[in-house]
Amino acid sequence: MSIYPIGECLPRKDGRAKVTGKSKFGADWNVTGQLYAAVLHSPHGHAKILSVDVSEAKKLPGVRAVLCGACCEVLYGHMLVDQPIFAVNKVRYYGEPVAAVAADDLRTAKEAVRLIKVEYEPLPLVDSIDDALSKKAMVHDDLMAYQALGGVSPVAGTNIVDTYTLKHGDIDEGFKQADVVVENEFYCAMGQHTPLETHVAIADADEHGCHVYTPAQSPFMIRGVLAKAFGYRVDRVRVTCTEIGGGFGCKVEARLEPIAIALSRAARKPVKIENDRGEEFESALCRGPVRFRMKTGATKDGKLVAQHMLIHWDTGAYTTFGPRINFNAGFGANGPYHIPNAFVDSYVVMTNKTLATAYRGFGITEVACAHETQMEALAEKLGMDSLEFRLKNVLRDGMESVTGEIVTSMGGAECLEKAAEGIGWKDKPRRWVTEDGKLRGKGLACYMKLTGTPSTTSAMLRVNDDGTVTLLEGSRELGQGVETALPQIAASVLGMNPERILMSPVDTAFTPYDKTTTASRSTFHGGNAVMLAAKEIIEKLKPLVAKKWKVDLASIVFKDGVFTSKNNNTLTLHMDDIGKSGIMKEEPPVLATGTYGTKALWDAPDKYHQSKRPAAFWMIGAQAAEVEIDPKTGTTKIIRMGAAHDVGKAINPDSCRQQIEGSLVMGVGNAIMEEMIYQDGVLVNGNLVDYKIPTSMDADFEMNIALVEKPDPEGPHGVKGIGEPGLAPTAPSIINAISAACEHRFTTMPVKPEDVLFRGE
Amino acid sequence: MLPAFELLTPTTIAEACKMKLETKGKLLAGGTDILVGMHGGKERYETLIDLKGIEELKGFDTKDGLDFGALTPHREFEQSALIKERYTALYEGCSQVGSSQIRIRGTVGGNICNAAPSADSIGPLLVFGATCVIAGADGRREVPLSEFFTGPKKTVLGESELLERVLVPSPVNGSGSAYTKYTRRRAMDLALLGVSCYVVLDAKGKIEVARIALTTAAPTPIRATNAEEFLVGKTLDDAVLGEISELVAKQAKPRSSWRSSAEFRIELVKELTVRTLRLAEERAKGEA
Amino acid sequence: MTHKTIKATVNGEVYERTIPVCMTLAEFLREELGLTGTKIGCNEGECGACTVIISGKPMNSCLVLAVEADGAEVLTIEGVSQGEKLHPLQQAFLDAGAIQCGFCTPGMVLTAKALIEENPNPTEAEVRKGIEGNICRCTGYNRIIDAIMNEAERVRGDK
Repeated sequence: MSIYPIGECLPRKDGRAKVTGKSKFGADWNVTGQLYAAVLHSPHGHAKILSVDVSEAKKLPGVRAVLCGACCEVLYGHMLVDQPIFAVNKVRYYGEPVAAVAADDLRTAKEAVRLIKVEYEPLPLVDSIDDALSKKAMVHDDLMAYQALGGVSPVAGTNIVDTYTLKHGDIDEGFKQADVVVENEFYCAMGQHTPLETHVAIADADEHGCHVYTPAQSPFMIRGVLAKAFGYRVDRVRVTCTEIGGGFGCKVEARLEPIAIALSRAARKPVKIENDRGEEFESALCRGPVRFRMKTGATKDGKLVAQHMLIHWDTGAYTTFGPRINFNAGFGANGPYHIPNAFVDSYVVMTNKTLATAYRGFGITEVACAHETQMEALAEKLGMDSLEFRLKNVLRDGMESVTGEIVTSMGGAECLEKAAEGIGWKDKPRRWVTEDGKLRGKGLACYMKLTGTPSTTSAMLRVNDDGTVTLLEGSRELGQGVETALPQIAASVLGMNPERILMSPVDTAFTPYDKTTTASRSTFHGGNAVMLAAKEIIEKLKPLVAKKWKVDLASIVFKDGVFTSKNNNTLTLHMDDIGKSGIMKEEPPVLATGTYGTKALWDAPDKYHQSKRPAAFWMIGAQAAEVEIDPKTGTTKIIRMGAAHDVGKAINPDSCRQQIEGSLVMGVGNAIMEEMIYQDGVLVNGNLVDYKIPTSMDADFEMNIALVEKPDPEGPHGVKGIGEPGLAPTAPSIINAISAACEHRFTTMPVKPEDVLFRGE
Repeated sequence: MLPAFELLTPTTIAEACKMKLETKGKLLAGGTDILVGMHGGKERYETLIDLKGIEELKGFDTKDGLDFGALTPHREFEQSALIKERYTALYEGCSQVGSSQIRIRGTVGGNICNAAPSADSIGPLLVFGATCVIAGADGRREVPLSEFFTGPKKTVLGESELLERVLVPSPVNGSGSAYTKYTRRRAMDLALLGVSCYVVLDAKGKIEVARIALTTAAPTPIRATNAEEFLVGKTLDDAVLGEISELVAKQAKPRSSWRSSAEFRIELVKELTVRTLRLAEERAKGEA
Repeated sequence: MTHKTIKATVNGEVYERTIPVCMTLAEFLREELGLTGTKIGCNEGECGACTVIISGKPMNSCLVLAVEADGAEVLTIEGVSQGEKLHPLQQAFLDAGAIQCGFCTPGMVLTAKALIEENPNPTEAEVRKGIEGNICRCTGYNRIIDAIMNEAERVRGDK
């Protein structure tokens, strides 16, 4: 049964403003009297700061404040409070802010920065995961000295800032049952989210409070971090959200906001700060590198019996959300498979590189690379078709997952079948050679991802005097369509025209609390909160309807957007006519809140991360790729991709498809193009030509997308999430296809033409 | 944001040469290299001399060969049916520079004077035997394009000189040309390797003249002269092409960098020279 | 000279301003005229977000000096719609679902507009190449290409 407007491809509500240039993104905001900031960044990856001389900079006319680590010893952090606003005593990554200037105009600020003199003494570089583990040098002298806010477990005397262990069954026993075992390594290079809009912030601050304007993905998290860092009362930190020109995870954390606040307090004026593209690459946030060592065993009839994963995440010079990636990806590290014996041994290490954070899936693309190359390798060794092999092992309702949960609502098998169908899997060999000598191959990949749990959100609905409805909820419109989906959900309860429901801008001063716009959680959590609020709105309107009709309140019935009276069938009032009806005139305003949290349903995982319910819901999907390799130049061309994801219920199917389409192209970048390259601690390709994100010319391939709908019992109308999932299996499916085409197992992301040409050497 | 500078706007070549001599200013054409470098703060100039007001530097003429002003934007060659037909390699080079926005602004003269080892227009112009007309305070001189570059980002231009025009002889009947640009991304990218070929076939289909230019294969764009000489009198069979790929590989001097290893570029030189030669040959025969 | 007084026509309105010569057109539009629909994504001509149409041609306004707009006609996203009514190309973007975060959208619309005006009968391959300089990180491009093809069809009167 369908409920209007659930499942309708309604046009996006933010579309008109965006297509006319009226949307105000971060840099489009200005505050009267604002100063402009420029930052001096570290030219070294790791160096002692011997001296900072700001005297010449201060003398430049128009300069209003100059700050460096020595005069601003504030630390902040989302999990471990380890990050200075400006480097103190030493710099830990190339691009780290060392000092900053606020001036009347940007050119003056930039000129002043050039006048700051810093003396450095280079320190040994912790350049890789192995460097970090070998303790060749310490990125932080004492990780234990920092305040831990939870979810982080630093190891004293090491460069390890977090550990995660998942243990299910008995791994040794499991491998004893295995007839075939494959062992491999996989390495994912450092990448960047690269939204078109760089980070930007405006702050108007003094010692009592601050007002920040920022394209934040998680305004309430950032509010908390800023309050803590500067000692503000939470209610005195106001975060006004601007439109966001792409996030993908990199606008989750406080980044430029602390610099803007510090400068604003020093200059006693509002300060605007904006990264240029080079700064964005060097000092914003990235997807950290990660290395996997995997060992997987199966019986000769193709049943998985054991899997061991050793994982090292490189989170860069400060902790940021590294431990959260470790945690989320740890749960998903075995894929959507029934594996009776599993062990995940995972660490987050620190290096002298820029900071890693959530990247569209909190590490799920990376773990999918690891477990999906294993599945291909096992299938190959067993002489089985890899689709058949996966179908034999994919989790189905009622099975126990590696997290100890009896799973339900599992769309994995259907996703695998449909993704494979999208490239005509069953009609094609694993690899073949075209008439003109090109190598074709097909590859498959799937993933399983949790949403962050527990988490909470609240929504408020307000009926305006003309009967339109304003929705206040903290989910941020990143382009994923939440500003359209949540009104659709509200309309489904209110039975009204969804065009008459608009989401309010998000501002911590008046928007009710929402944890964050990450983890593909917004439609699920926000939708639940909105439904509760909408139901209450109806209850609040009933007495007004009864009063107007002069009938008994108990006689008022609401169905499909229409109020009627059981006592008098000539009386009807549609929700769309509430305003005209006059029932709200001089009555108390009609508003309602709905709150939704997942703490109650959550079973806190034990130390081995076993839990009856570690997550509010799981996301599952699969993708298949067909690629063509030029064997003489190493070039990979994507021919077609099939994608199928279990969205639970598509509130707006077009929006869901758009998320997947964009993810496919982003995933092509991840798979064969994108890599942040450091040499001697210095980022060498921090611009949009040398860091290669796909252009329109790179997106020229066939896409066949299927939405699978296995409703989640907890989700509003059965919803799961789809913001991140499309990306997760893209790169691994492409890499598997390249491996098939070349008859060589590639073990890195990205796979570059050079790797293809010199394979096996 | 651009660091502050003084802008001069000459309207004649003589005026521009005088300004350059007196101010040591940087000549600005389309700005698609210079302004990019300045935005990031990597490059700073006290004076920019914008040449776009000089009418003499604009436009091209194809009556007797190709004679084009240094300010001709890439887009004009991309959109000229005559260039596409007669100077195919040049068309292929110019139409693969940056994006349409960049090709509308960026000039071929600027591409040459920027002297990047990867420049897309230079290889094709080298195989067509182009000559640079240089204007300076002391008058004009002509320098073959093959002698224009003295190193990466370095040219023979003196302190008062600018590139005025480029003269390209008309390709003869029975000739064909091609340019292959190898990139990691399929647009908006710099050539990891560029191969330009021009061949003239005799009546029997044997090679009478062959010219091969390699970009990003050495510190400056180069001609693969040993391979060119070897090709004379040959037909492009597999054995000859095998020899050719070895000969060009010997002449190429790519370096290893984070963009790619020298070994990879050598492999590309071998393969793409063969492909580009074949394409040029097909075009000479009127088959492609 | 370090400053110059220019008279530029932007979206049909004439503006006279004295500006530093080092100011780019993108800065002029955004900061002097408050036309923030023109986005700056890289300031290096590598993303296309700042594309505007100058005398009929699409250009990266971050690589054009504002003084060059003296006497020129500049069209920005704010001038594309016809009063309250969206330009059919803008409507085509909405209809095709060609917008997600929206940051690349203004530059993309202007590149597309110039493309169709130059060639109202483009092939899909020509459209794909035509927008090669406009990076979009969200959509995967295909819906943008659909939108442009649909609008070209409308312009030709096929639809």
